[in-house]
Amino acid sequence: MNTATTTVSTGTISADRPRAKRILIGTVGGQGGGVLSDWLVHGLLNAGWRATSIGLLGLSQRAGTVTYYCEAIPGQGKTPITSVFATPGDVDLLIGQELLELGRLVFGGFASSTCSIIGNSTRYLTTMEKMPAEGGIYDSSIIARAVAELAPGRHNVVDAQRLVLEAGLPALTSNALLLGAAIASPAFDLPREPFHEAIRESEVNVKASIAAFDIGYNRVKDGTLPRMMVEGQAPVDGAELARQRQGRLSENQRKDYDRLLSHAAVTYGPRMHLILAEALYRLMDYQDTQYAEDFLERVAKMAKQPGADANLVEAYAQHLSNWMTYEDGARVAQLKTRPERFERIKQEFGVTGDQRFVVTDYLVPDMEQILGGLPKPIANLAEKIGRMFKSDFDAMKFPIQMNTNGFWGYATMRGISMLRGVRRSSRRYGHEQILLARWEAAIVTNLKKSPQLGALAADAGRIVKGYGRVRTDALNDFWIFLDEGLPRIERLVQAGGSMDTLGSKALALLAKEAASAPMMRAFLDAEEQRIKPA
Amino acid sequence: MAHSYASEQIAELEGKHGDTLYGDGALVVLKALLESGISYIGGYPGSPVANVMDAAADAYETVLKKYGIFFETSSNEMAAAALLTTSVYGPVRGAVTWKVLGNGVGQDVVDHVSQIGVQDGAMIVVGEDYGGSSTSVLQRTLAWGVKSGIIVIDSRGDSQVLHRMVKEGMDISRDSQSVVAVLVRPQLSHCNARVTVGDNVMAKINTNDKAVDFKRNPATFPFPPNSYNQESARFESRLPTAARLVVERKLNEYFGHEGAKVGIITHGTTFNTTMRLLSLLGLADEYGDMDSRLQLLQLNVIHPLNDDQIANFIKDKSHVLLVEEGQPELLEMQMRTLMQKRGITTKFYGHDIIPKYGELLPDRVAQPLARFIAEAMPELALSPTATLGEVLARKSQAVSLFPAPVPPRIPTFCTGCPERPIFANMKIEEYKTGQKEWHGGDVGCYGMAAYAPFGMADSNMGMGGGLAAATGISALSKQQNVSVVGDGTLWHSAFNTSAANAIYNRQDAIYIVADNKWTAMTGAHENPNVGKLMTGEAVGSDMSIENTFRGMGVKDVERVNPYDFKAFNEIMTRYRRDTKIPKVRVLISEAECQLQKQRRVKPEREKAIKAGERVEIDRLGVDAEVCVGDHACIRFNGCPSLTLKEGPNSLRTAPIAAIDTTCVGCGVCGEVTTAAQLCPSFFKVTKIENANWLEKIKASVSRLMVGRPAARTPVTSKEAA
Repeated sequence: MNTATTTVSTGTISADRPRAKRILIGTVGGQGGGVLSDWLVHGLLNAGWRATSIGLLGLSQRAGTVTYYCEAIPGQGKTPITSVFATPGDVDLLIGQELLELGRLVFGGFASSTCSIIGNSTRYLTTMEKMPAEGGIYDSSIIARAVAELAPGRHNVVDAQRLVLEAGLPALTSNALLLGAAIASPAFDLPREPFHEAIRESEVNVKASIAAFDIGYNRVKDGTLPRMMVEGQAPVDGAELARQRQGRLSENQRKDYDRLLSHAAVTYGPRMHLILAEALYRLMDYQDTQYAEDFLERVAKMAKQPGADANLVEAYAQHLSNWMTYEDGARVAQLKTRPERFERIKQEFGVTGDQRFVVTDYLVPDMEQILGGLPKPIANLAEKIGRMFKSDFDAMKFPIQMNTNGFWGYATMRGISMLRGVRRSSRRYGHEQILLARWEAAIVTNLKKSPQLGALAADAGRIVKGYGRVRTDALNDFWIFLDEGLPRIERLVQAGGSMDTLGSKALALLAKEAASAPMMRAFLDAEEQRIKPA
Repeated sequence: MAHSYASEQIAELEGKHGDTLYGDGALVVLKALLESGISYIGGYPGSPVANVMDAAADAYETVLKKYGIFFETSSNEMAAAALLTTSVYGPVRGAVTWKVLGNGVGQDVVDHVSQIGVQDGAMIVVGEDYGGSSTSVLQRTLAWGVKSGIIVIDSRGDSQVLHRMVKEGMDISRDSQSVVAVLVRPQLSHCNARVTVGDNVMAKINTNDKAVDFKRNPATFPFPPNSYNQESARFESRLPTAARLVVERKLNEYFGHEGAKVGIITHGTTFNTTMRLLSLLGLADEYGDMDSRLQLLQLNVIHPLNDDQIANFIKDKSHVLLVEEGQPELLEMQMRTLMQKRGITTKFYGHDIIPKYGELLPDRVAQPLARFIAEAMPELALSPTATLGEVLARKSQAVSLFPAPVPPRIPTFCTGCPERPIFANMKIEEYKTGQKEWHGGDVGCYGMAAYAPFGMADSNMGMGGGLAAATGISALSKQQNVSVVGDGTLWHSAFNTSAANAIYNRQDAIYIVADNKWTAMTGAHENPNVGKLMTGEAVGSDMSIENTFRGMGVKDVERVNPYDFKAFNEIMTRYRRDTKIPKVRVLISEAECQLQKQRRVKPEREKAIKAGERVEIDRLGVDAEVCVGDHACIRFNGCPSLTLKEGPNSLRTAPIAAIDTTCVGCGVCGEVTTAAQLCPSFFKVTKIENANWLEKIKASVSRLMVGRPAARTPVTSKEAA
């Protein structure tokens, strides 16, 4: 057989040949990442480079991760051999069209020791982040720190949407801004024209995209593009918060608000001021000044308990305020018929001037919620009569789609909101008072054992939220935590466990989702196996 | 039509000798096929080669028709395989395409074609997807090729080489009368690059210039007395011819130096990865030139191997490394056997140091390669392990900066998808009753029901077999059996494999057909349900899913709009109660794929508004003040447009739900909140463009009644957002 060899390449390696630039682009499927990588490659081709790009699509249209890998080499001549995969530690430029996707590339270790990193600080949350009620969202500051560490002085992670919007350009052009920044970055430092040309060829929003490209390009060149625009939790200014909240109250309530808040400010510290500035507004808006005074009285009573520290009182006040403004029919109707609500809707939905728009609210009151809003004797009577006629009376529910800005819908909702006047005598109110008393008793009992246990019992108030069955499930979790969880934690602490860790973990499990008591039990079981009580 | 090629790209398929084409792997493959003079093309779309079907469909009117190329929208891979029969009986060449899983579906027919042999060339363009993000169970086409006597081409990662291999492959198929499979990996299929092309060739027999007839040939009958003749021709003559031609035509490539003592053998894209790592080691540059002590053999054809070529490469070397990806390790087995037969004592390395399975990513190959180099070239001053270790250290450094790993972004149903309400509805039912039904999932978008937030595809066992996969479970468990299948998969194979089997065997099950009018998973392809071929031409008859089920004798066939939870649930409740009489009950959930619908509706709507017609636009919202942040809605829904934001109440410990502007107003959020009795936070806003006079009066009344906000301190910008 003929086995003649075809030696493709026998030359010797030479160090002065240019090395291909490696660019890795992280995107979310369906968010224009394909266009961005096309612009990059076409721009490089226009600039006389040779460039290839590979899109790893996955299930791209379905909001999954899509990564583009590009290799480019200046000039023409012998065809280079590209890699089809990015090698960790070997990529010259990372572009993140969304912050978590940038984080994924950074976490993958692709950044070379001289890598430039250009990214968008915008977050597009993943399903897994959105599902838990609390603690699901990935901490952006981790990504920010890693970027700064791995590409010191060679990174720009900016809120591209904000920058283009500020320049009067559509949000979608943010990708072009990122490209401009990338081309001007030390990784490339190329002229802009070939990329303008690529944008023109693509026919995608040409004028605005070129303008956005230039913002990124110019601001990298003149050094005014911020290095990092990933924001942490902005500190809230108590006085500002109070001013805003007070301003939302009616004229005659404002004085009461100021009086109660300034009085409380003397009694409690500045952290408490933040809580009360919100709480007093919510309670007065919900019911009346007296109601806010009731709240303050409860807080004062709790603060006087021996051993009650600031942690406990703050947690108690925070969750008590939410609890006391429980969402009954009257509250929902009140919130749903506010003029501000319709203004906000017009703004958010782009309703212009006197354009006709219809707001349809999806409401699902059940019998318990309806009766709960009525004065107790009336509710009980109605229930008795109802049960005689309908065997499934208690389980009845009434899904309604209410046109709230139509005549009848609005009138009905206003009517329901007036039940606020009889709230204090309503069946639900009485019921909530009993629950609150039970919670307070649990806090006091635990407080007697230790301040930390008391604070945990107070903080457990965060679990109670939701409507209908979700709330019922959450309440069930809540009692299980107080009645079973806390004693078990107490025993574990006696056996050498850490109260902080055990308490915060158990609470975090319950706060993620209603009906999570089995998860908490499993956690405590495992801890009990680990820490054998002495 | 959802195909994605611009007319300028399609025009590049007409390029002449020496012209350049810029495009993805599919365009490159199609161009090479046009240059090969094919008479037919067909296939079933699947990742990562669904774009080959797209390109062919988009090129049909302007290019394929001109060359008289018959284009078939094959109903499944077996039908596509059967199309290759054309080349058994006539002097024509053609190609079909499918993803790697199609090898199994088409196998029966391909085995026949392969045993008999072909005349002018028959090619299968296989989407080879062995990676960690593969949408198939992992497998190599090579094993199938070896077993069925098919030539397997595995081009290195270079579009120009791919272009050449398609053309050479077609010629080798002709000259060895064997079927050839060209593997197209995602890295080649989705690679955009520039390629120099040749002239297109018009086939002698084509749809514009038909043959008088195809000649009968009793010798092609693939059973006794012909079987052994065909088998002997295949293994004594056809495949050895192919092995000879692979070398004569220089399909496998050498890099480096002939007299070198150290050798490396690569195949497919393992070449690119190996070369990159060698360049990082300073033993090669990025143009393919190598250190004088090294020689590399790149196998662009992995079956059949040419024994002499392999033996000659190995025998005079001291050390040889084979970088083979995946299982079974058929290259290594053949090479070691060959060495044993010929008494070659070269030190040979393979899967003893290279990872045995899984995609050979650079960081998985780096240290094994360094180890090999260190052993084969002990004279190197710098330790290869240390050199590559330094590069890879960036990875461990990066990982150490993350106290928690970056969470995965799992794909999910698109915004407004008509399949979401099916699973949301069943999820809510499960939440209310605590009854866990058995969901025999199938292959299609609805397979994503397995992921968060639903977890409602308990099995996923191969295309069309979803319901069939649950027969034993249905018989042996008290659970209600529910299986969801899409219209595309139903026509692909499920009518036979699942429906006929279930009806015939009296399986007790609810069979939900997610009829979204498209084969959506592959990026929206036509199927019989669409009423059109991929070419855009109309289907000859009304292929109705409902009538087919009725024709199969199913009495319970209902059609429902999935966005109407109440109607959907009423039927489900009736079907569920019916378990005493074991039978198949069919629920056809009818609503168009939302992506496709939006592509169609949006421009129409814009036009209508401009023309002054009355248009309603729906979008949903969440009342920030009413939402308490329990996120129960998200756990039943998972819509990409339903997301989170900071709420207006600073005392709340959780962010609140919010709907972004990508909402298409499908109403599922409202239905979910009603069905699961969640909260009163959701509302729908219907904006009316070009309202009539009565509505204008209504708008004024509404404004008067609702009133304007009092002069209050403006809310903060964050809240307004």
